[in-house]
Amino acid sequence: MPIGKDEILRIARLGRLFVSEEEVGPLQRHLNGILEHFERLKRLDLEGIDPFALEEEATGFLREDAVSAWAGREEVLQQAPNREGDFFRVPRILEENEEEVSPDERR
Amino acid sequence: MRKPNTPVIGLEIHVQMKTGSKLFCACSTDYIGAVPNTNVCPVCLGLPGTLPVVNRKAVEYAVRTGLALGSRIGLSTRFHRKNYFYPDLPKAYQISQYDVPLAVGGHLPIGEEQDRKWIRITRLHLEEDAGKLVHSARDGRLGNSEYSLVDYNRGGVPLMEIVSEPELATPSEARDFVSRLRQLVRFLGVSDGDMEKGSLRVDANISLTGPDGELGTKVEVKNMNSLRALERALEYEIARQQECLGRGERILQETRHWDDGKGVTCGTRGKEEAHDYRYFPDPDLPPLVLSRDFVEEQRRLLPELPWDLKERFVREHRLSIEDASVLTELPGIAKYYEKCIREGANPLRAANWIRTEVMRVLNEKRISIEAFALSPEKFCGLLARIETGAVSTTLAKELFEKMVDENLSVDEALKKAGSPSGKVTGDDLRKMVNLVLERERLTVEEIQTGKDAKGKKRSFLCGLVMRESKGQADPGEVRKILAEILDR
Ligand SMILES: [Zn+2]
Repeated sequence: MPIGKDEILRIARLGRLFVSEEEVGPLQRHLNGILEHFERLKRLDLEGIDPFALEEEATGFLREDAVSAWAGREEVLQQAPNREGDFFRVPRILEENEEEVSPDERR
Repeated sequence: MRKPNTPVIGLEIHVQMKTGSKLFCACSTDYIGAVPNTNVCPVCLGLPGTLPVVNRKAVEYAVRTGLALGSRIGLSTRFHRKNYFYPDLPKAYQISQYDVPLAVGGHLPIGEEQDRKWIRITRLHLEEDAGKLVHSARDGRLGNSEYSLVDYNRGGVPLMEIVSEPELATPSEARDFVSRLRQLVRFLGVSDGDMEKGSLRVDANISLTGPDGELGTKVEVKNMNSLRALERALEYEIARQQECLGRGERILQETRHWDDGKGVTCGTRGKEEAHDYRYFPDPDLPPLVLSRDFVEEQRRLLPELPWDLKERFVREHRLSIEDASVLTELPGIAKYYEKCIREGANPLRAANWIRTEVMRVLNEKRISIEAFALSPEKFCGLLARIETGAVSTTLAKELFEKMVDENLSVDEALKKAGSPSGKVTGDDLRKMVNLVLERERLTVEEIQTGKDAKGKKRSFLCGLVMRESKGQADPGEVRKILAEILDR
């Protein structure tokens, strides 16, 4: 089932991405291409194959619980679009159903 | 089948684990009171090109909790990304576990003995905590903020989310469940379980069954910061839903916030998209594969579970359920009590004194038993004197104060209790003994006719003399004089 325009706009909204009218078409084609590929994969007969079969060897490495401080926090705060003292400053949080602000206004 | 109009409650509990570092990076988890955005690094700030690495201790703690709950531990589980857009989440996704959680099944007992109920656990999984938002509006209200300030110190702190089956029937059962779980994580040493500080957070799902006992619409209630708040919020919510249904209205599936000051739950308007988290396996993290040895090692490290300990206290020390509950609420208190027993203390007397005197001092000083200066050895020295009658209860309470304040042994406290000149000895003491015996002629007669095989009556007389002397006599001397007179 190919992705329609509404679906593109919904995905964009969830990711807080601004998608213009002209971008919808190409995005739709692109995402549908990916989904078609997955449809082909889904047709493969994988009966009896462990979904993790190829991952077992690359098993997770566990880190010891040791604390170390990072020296770069000032640099990060400095590069933030907005800071206030020790805090990152962000636009006010939207209440549900409130009007969406455009990406430019969010800065 | 359930009856109509019955509350059905399920809980989701987030427990912050007491690791030193965060779940996926080496930043400190010690965020309370820390300068904002100091415990941060490229990993927990979600900077591009970084890779998360799982903290072994967090996995150990979660596995240990799962084992204590009797859950099945998954030897191969995975991490998913839970996507949502909110400034407390710098990556715009939270690393969590989705379809293959670390532990599945299990149960937690609530209620006492005869009406014990085992509430089933659905699952337990690992995830990272989010940062904290500070709102800048003058009245502090979210809706009126001009902007928000973000502190990522808490972001990435390891959490385990524990989900119960919807098997709790009343607000008080829900409260009991949370308090038993809190007790458990404290006994396991995996979390401080402090609801006020937010290291244990509870969300509740609640619905009322319909006319045929079928499940009704679920409402999620959040923002309850104490056991009391949880109970009140659920009571309010049950009444609200009953009223709603009584008026013939439908219950809206929504998330409601508990307002502790007003004592009401408030709906957060329309959230139809809020639950579209678009989970997918986190490609940055390989599956979490644990060996059987790893799991068995955690099983070996399990302490005696609090509900077993409580039953043992009742059985072995003949404590009431209430005494045993109080003594096993915190692992430190239970340990202190057990040390007293090993020192030879009378189990009932020790239980009583810890429940009343020791816990009163802890409350007054606002300290935990771990910070309590008086060792069980010294404390038992005092209990032993009460036992032999060498020290009266009244005097013992005075001595206890001194012992606690200056960390003294009972002998040191006795010495300090009066100046040496005030010491009652020799002829003065002999007079005092005679005075007491005069009053207690019946007891004297009983002792002299051999009705004191265990020496309890003798101890009783000794205690009376000690009380008469306000503790200024030497119990050994009192016993000697008593013997001289009684065995004459
Ligand atoms: Zn970090």
